[in-house]
Amino acid sequence: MDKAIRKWANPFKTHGWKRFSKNKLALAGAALLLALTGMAVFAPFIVGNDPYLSLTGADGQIMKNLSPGDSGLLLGADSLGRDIFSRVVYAARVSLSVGLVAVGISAAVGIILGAVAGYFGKWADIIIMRVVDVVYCFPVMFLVIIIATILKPSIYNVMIVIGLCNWTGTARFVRGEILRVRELEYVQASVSLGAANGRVILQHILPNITAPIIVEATLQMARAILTEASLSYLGVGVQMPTASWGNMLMDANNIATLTLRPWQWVPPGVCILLAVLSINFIGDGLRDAFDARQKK
Amino acid sequence: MSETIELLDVKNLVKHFPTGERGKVVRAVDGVSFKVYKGETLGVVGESGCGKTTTGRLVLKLLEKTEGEIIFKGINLSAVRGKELRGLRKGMQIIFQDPYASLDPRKTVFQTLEEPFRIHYPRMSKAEIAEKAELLIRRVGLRQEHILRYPHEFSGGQRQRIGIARAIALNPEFVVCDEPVSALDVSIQAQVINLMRDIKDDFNLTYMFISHDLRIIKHICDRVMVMYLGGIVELGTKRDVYEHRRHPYTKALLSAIPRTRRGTGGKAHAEERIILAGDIPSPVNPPAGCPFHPRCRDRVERCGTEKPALRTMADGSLVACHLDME
Repeated sequence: MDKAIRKWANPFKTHGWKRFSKNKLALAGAALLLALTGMAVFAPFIVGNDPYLSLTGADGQIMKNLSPGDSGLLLGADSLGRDIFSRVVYAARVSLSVGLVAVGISAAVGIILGAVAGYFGKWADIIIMRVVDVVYCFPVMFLVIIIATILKPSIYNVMIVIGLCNWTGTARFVRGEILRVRELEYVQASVSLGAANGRVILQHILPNITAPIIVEATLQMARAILTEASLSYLGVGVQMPTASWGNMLMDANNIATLTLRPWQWVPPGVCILLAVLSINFIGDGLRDAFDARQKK
Repeated sequence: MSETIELLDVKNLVKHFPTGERGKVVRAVDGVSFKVYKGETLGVVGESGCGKTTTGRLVLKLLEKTEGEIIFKGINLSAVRGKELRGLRKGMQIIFQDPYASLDPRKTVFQTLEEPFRIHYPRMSKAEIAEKAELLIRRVGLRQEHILRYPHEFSGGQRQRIGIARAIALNPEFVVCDEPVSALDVSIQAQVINLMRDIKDDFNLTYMFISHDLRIIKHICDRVMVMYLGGIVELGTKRDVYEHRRHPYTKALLSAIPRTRRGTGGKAHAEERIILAGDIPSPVNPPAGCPFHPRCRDRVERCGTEKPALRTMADGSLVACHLDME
């Protein structure tokens, strides 16, 4: 009996935090992401130099390709004499906001379409799921590049394009969850009380599937950040002079820089790695924490 | 029968579920006709998979029927939908089998009991709703302080009481009780059954009581409908069904009631326990003729070829069997 009661209790409230906090990787991920977020939010207070301004020496010449430590710059300067540390810090704003907004868009589209398909079934389900199949089997990168090229490349277009290409997984997933939950007796009870469809979905179905949706969205965010970096590296994403980890990599993409000045490309690369890794760890931790079937 | 106002009239109800295989369907309910009269308790018995739960869901339009007609208080339910249907739902409610699945785990008792009023009386103030919810919660034997708790803080019996409170919140006329106590401990079953009986009297309810427990059916019902493989095999007053035991399936079912005292089972024919051989056949591929004939020990040649229709007996019972029953 006790076990059955626990099954229906809110799994996160009962043991979730305990499980999450025991997961060392998830905690480390959360700390790291917090640090990166802090870096993005407080960027102007962290850095000393404008990330978009070329630094000039006493002689009025642009100080190109400074090494770390020269002129008091932590990571040196790039080929246009801009403070690399400043650019890395400011680029966190781009990556994280693109990740957040793109996931917001893809989650909104995915949840709405998945809910409609799962709840109403019949032709709505058939049409939506066929659209999902079509979008799903398109190579996303290819699609994104085409759309990004047709639209004027900008940070907002990058957000929209990534968002609109990544909703299919969420839609499928939400549809499946709704098919499962809608047959449960408490949902049937609400229908039998005369609740309208909107009420049933918003009051009873969605609140009971938020946990897996949050997990899904977290993992999606890591993917979105990676896609943004790839697009920017290819030159169809965030445009210069705005700094993004991806376009900083592109900037460093010549033999001389790659071999002789690693401080121009290692820091943004490491930042991408850390951001994606930390979010993935958090997602895995949340998934385990929300899963009521796991033991403490 | 003293009450003869028809509350529900079901005509040739059919529900087929797709199996995924082309051309094959599960005949969960296969041509069922019955009436429910105002104020009575109609018991529905049968083995698992005989279609009793599906029938219950169909008459409330929680499932869409394949064929047939359901007339509730003179209104054909096939013709109404949307807002009109939601308005009608006020008059018909359901109590579910599984007290762990029937309450939303994220809602407090108050939020659960608040919902029916929010749906049908959007102008009702929170204070009025709170007053009504408290009344309901006390009526089903819980205490006022329970109202802000979550479902997981309750036992199975208490949860079932909350489910009952939700079902009677809107003062319905007709309540389908879908095995309301079969998930509970035997000691709790009696309490909940008695609560349901009291509430029926207080609220002038009509019950369609689905159960596989023949003792509970005998305790609470006025008429009994015996189902087998999606069809009705016998339908009559409790007295007629329990004492005459006309249909061979009814005989077998009733002989399976464990008796605690010698003789409580009644008449001479109750002495022998009839063990049915084999399982209930698949409703995807029901046997030809009488659906019960492969397991029937009284079968004759005709049973394998011709499906028996429901015949009216002298006392008004309906029996679907080729044998001479009178």
